Amino acid sequence: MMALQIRDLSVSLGGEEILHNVSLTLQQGQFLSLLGPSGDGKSTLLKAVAGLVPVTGGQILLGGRDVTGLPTHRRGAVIVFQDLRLFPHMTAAENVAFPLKMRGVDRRRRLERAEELLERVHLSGCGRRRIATLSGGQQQRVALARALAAEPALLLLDEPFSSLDEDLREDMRRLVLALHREFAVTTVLVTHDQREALAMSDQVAVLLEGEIVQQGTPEAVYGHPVNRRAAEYFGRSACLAGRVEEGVFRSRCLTCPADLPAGRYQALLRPAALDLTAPGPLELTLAEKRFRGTDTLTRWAMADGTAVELPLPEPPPWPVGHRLRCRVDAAKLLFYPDEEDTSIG
Amino acid sequence: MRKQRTAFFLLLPLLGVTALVLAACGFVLAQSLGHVPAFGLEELTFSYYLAIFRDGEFLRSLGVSLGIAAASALLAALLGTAVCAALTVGGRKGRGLTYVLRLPILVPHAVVALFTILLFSQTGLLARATFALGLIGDFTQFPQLLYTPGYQGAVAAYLWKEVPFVAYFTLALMSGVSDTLGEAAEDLGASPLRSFFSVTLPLSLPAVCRATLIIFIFAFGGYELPLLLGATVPKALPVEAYLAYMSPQLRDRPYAMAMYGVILALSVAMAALYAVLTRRLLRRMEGSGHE
Repeated sequence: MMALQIRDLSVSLGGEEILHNVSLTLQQGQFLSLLGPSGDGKSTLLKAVAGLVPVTGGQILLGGRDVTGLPTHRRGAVIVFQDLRLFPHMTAAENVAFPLKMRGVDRRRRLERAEELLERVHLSGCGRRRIATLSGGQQQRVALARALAAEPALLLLDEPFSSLDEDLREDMRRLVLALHREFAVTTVLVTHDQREALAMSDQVAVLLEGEIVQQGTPEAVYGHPVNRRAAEYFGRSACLAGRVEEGVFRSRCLTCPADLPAGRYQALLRPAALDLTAPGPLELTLAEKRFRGTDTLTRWAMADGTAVELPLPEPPPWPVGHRLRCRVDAAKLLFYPDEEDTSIG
Repeated sequence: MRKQRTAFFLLLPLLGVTALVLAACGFVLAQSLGHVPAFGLEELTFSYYLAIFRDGEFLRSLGVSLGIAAASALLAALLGTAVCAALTVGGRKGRGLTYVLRLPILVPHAVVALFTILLFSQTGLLARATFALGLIGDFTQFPQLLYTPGYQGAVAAYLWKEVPFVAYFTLALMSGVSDTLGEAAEDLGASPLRSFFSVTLPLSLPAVCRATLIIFIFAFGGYELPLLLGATVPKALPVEAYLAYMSPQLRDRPYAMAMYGVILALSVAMAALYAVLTRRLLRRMEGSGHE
C-alpha cells in the first residue's frame, strides 16, 4: 500500500513559490531520504505534508486518504524538528507522554508507555529529568521517543542529526534505522548529507530548487542521475564539454567511444571512472593532496584546467605537480545533451 | 579596554540619573525617619511609620491604592492575555493590529481621564445614549462609575491603557512559543485549543506575570487617575501623601515622607519579584531547543 502520495504539490511562502509541482510516492514501511541542498525546500515539503504550511495546489494522501484539507492534529504525520521543540516545562517522560495525553490515555498508562519508549531509545531512568538537564544527544532521543508515542502514520525527520558530533550522529542513525524497522513506521528523512541519505534509505528523492528531479533506490539515483543538475549535486565530478560524432566523444582533454547520437554533450567524469594505475588517454596534473585519516583526497587538473577530485585509500607517492596519463572507463562516464553551453564547438 | 571606556561614557547619563534617584530615595527615607535638620529634627526614629500605621485614614488610602493596583493588574492580565492569544491565533494578519494596540499605550493618563469622564460620567456619552434609547428614564439612573470610593472609574481607565500593554508585552514571547512549541504540540495531535492551554499559555506566563507586576507598581504609585476619577474620601495613597507633603505644617513633613517610604518599599519589593521572574524565565528557556 502507498503510505504517502504527493501529487503536483505547490507551496508558496510570503508570495514566493517554494515548491513547484512536487510529486512523490512512498510504500508502506519504507525509508525515504529527501536529499538536497539547504534552502531548496526540503523542510517546507515536510511541513506541508504535516499541515504546518498551507499549500497552493496539489494533493497529499496519507495511507490513501486525502489529507490536504485536514488540520495538522488530525493527519498523523509527525515531525521530529531540527530544533527538537521539546516542551521545557515538562519532564522527559511528560514530553513523551504528551501525544498520549492528547488522545485521552489516562495518566498512569501514558507514563508507563513513556517509560517503555524511553527505554527503547536507551534513556531508561531519565524520565523524571527536566529537558534542560539533558545533553543534546539525549534530547534528540527524547524527541524521537515522543514522535513514536504518537504512533505516526508517517514519521518525518527534519535534519535530526545535523547538530550532533560525528560519533553521536552514527549512533543516532543506527538507532533511527532500528526503530524504523521495529515499529515498521514509514519514514521520511530530510538531509543534505549525501552519504547519510544513500546509506540509510530504501528510496532517495533529490529535491533541487523546489522540484523533485529524481526518485529511486540509492543505487539508481547515485549511479544514474537523470540530468546534469542531479549528477552535479552528487559532486566530485568534472564536467567535460564536447561533441559526439560517429560514436566517438571528443573534448579538449578526452576522446573516448560513446554510443550516442551525434551532437553536443556534457560528459561527467566521476572518480569511479578513473583508473590511475593504468596508462590511458587522459592527462592529469596533481594539484593538491590532503590526508584525511581514512583516505587522502587528491585534486587533479586536466589539460584545460578543469579539476577533478579523487579520494585515494593510500597517500599517493607523487609530489604536487606530478603529471600522469590515466585510463578512463568510458562505461562509467555520464553523458548529458548540452543545451545551455554553446561556446565550445 | 577602549570598548569598556566607550561603554562607560555612553552609560554616564544613565548613571547620573540613577545617582540622582538614589539620592532622592535616601532623602525621602532620611526624612521619613525624622531627620530634617532644617526643622530642628535630628534624632532618627520609627515613630512616624508607627504613627501612620495607626492612622485610619492612611490605612484606608493604602487599602484603596492596593485595591486599584490589584484590580487593574489582574483584570488587565486576564483581558490582555486573551487579546494576545487572539492576535497570536490570527497569525500575520492579526499582527497588523499591533499598531492599534500601541495607541492606548501612548496616550497620557490625564487624557485617558478626560476620555473616561466624557464616556462614563452621568452626563457622559454612554448615559446620553442609553437615555436616548429609552433604557433609562433620567441621567441619575445611569450607574455612578466615577468619583466612587470603589474607584471603578480609575480601574476602567487603567484597563483601557494596560490591557493593550499586557497584550503588546506578551505578544513577542507568545507568538514565538506558538510558532515553535505550539506547532509541535499540534503536530503531536493536540487541537489548536489544547495546544494553546497546555503549551503556549504556560510558557508565556512569565511575560504575563512580569507585565502584571509592572502594572501593579504603576497603578499603586499612580497619582493622576485616582485624583481625577476617584472619590474625595478615601483618597489613594499617592494623593494622600502629596497632600500631606503640601501641608503648611512643616513638622508634618516626616509623616508624608513615611507614606512615600511605604510606596517605595512596596515598589522595590515588586521590582525584586520582577527580577526573580525574569531570571526564572531565562532559565526555563535555556536548552529548551527552541530559539
